[in-house]
Amino acid sequence: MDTVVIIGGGWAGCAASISARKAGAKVVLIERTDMLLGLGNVGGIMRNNGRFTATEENIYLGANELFEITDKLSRHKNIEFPGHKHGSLYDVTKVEPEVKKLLDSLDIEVITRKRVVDVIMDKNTIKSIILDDESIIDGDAFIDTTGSTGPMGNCLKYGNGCSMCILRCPTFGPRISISQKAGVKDLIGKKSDGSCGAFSGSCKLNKDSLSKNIKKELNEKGVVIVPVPIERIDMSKLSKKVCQQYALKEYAENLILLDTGHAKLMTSFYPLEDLRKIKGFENARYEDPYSGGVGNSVRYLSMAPRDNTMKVIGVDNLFCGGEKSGLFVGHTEAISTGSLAGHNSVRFIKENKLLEIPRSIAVGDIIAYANEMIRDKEGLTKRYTFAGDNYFERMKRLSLYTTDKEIIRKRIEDSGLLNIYDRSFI
Amino acid sequence: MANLFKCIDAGTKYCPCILAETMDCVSCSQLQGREFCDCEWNGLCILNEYYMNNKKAKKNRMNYKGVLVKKKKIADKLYLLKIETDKDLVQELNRSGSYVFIRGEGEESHFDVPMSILDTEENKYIRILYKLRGCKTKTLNNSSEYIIRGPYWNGVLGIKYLKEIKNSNCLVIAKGMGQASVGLVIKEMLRNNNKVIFILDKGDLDKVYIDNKRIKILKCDIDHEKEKILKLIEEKNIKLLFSAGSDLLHESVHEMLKYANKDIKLMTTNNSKLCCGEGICGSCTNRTKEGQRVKLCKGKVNQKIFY
Repeated sequence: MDTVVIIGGGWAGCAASISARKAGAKVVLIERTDMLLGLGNVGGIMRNNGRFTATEENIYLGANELFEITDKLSRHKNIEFPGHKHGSLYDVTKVEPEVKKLLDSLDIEVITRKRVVDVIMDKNTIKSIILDDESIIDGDAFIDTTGSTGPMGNCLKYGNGCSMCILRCPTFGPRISISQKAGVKDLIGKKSDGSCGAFSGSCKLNKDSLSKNIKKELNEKGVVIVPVPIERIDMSKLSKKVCQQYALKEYAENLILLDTGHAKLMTSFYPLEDLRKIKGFENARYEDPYSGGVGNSVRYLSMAPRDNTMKVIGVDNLFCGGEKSGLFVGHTEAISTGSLAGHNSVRFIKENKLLEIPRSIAVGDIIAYANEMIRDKEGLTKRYTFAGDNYFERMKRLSLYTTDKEIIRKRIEDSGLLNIYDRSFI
Repeated sequence: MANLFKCIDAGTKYCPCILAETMDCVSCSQLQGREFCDCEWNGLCILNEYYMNNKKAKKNRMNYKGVLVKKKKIADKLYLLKIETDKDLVQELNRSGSYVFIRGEGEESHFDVPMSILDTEENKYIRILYKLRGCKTKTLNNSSEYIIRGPYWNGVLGIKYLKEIKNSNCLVIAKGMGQASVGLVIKEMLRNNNKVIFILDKGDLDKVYIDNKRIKILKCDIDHEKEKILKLIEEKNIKLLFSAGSDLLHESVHEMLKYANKDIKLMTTNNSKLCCGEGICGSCTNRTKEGQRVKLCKGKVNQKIFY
């Protein structure tokens, strides 16, 4: 049977599973930890700025399922915080089981707690992958959605050491770059100072450890902004974080909390003793990463060169999505790239022309734009997200950004891709 | 650049070792001078351990004194020794694959001979079995007091299969001096509720020197009775086979298993020429079938990578 094997069960891997399954393939999704969604278990921000447009585009393209879950499980909708409009915050404590149920209902075989350690090649084609228990899984097409974060030694060398994040490498073992095992050298993202990688952009506080007032306001409004005493403002931190859309001066001058179930603190890390000096945070403690007072996970250390159909260049039957496919930030970006990778993996098996999403659609444009930008050194220091920074500016400039669903629907219809991800090839 | 293998010493008080300082770690890509992580994963991060130890190697293995308690001549040139030594050392040697370097008191360190631990007793004694072959064993045989360096653990290749096996049937095939390293392995098999069948090909040794009350013992000529063994493997649904003997025995068992259930796992004794035990001297370096070099005093590999 035509089998697509997807390695890495984060948002991109889950999205790829669904689109590959809908396109008719048998799908095996392998996740090294005991939970799907990876960093999605501590994220939560959807639909802010250009992500609204991209979400609706994906829905009209036929990748609606995951957005239905995040919409349904949003604790807050249509909220504003500095630099961001009409955001939704999904409840990170509820989404993962829903996604697991969805994949089960689609007959996607999900294998957890198994780590892919190597590939078996025949010239430029991957025949099989090898798991840590030495078992072998054959496939016709493979998708690398292993991400770009960690493992421990990388967080040590390029960050402040293992901060005990949700990826839990010490328990489940390290991320392995499948594309690199297949002989394709990884591309590495840089910080603006030229050093490798970047810190994850937020940490999460235990909501119960905050003052009653903060907790109440968070639960009611979804956002709490607390000014940082002037002597404690540190602007230099902004350049080191992944999420350039949140690297605005407001994020250094204030503590910005978002309610995602936890209290999401929009800074990479914040020394606990300094945090506890601020009113309302006297008893604060971290929920993710556990050592959020010291550091955070380091990302963008492993990207595969790819074309705009999400196929990895240099391997005949390997696709990629999520952070593995470029310097993307966010769940919406992961779902966008993962869905296309899954869909195209089945087109590849059935020898159909691979789909490239046109640049009149924001999802198509970001995939192509990030690929163009990554070719030079400066591009490797940028991040690409619908939610802010250079790409959102571009969206506005090219009139790709809109919150009018009818315009978005027409955009997709005009390109002939309405519900394209629902089309089965098998 | 060296290849990456799991290391028997990872996670022990001897890791990181000197190989981390010289950027020759068996396991860690970064401690081999590469830019990024790409390890076989030992369950912990050796680079982290190295940083936490202020970028220094941990203390090396020590020498301990040993005193002969009992010496038994089993056959011509074959001896079984019971030696009393340091309690902590004995405790650390109570683990499958354990071995030490041993020489007579007063001898120089080039007389160190690697010796499998047949068994330990009362956290006080070790038992070893050896044959007089060359200068080291002959010199050792003249002593009653010893210098013992240890503990070392990579005496068995494929040890991960032993850690995994539970409630199953295991087969141990030993030939000659191979019997010297089966004691601790069989104990561990039994501890995990496995049944053990022990086949002894007499070779140099025709008696059984292991605690044999709970195991079934058969004697046969392995080279000429392969069909009989294959039948036994099938009938008893053997899940793990431990080949204890020379490399010729391992190869012959490996060939034989091509005709058996392919899920059967093979463990073997580590027959490489161990000299320093620390990954430094290179005498135990072997090549995998793909031509990659592996130091077998440290590399936690299984035999099949050589065929």
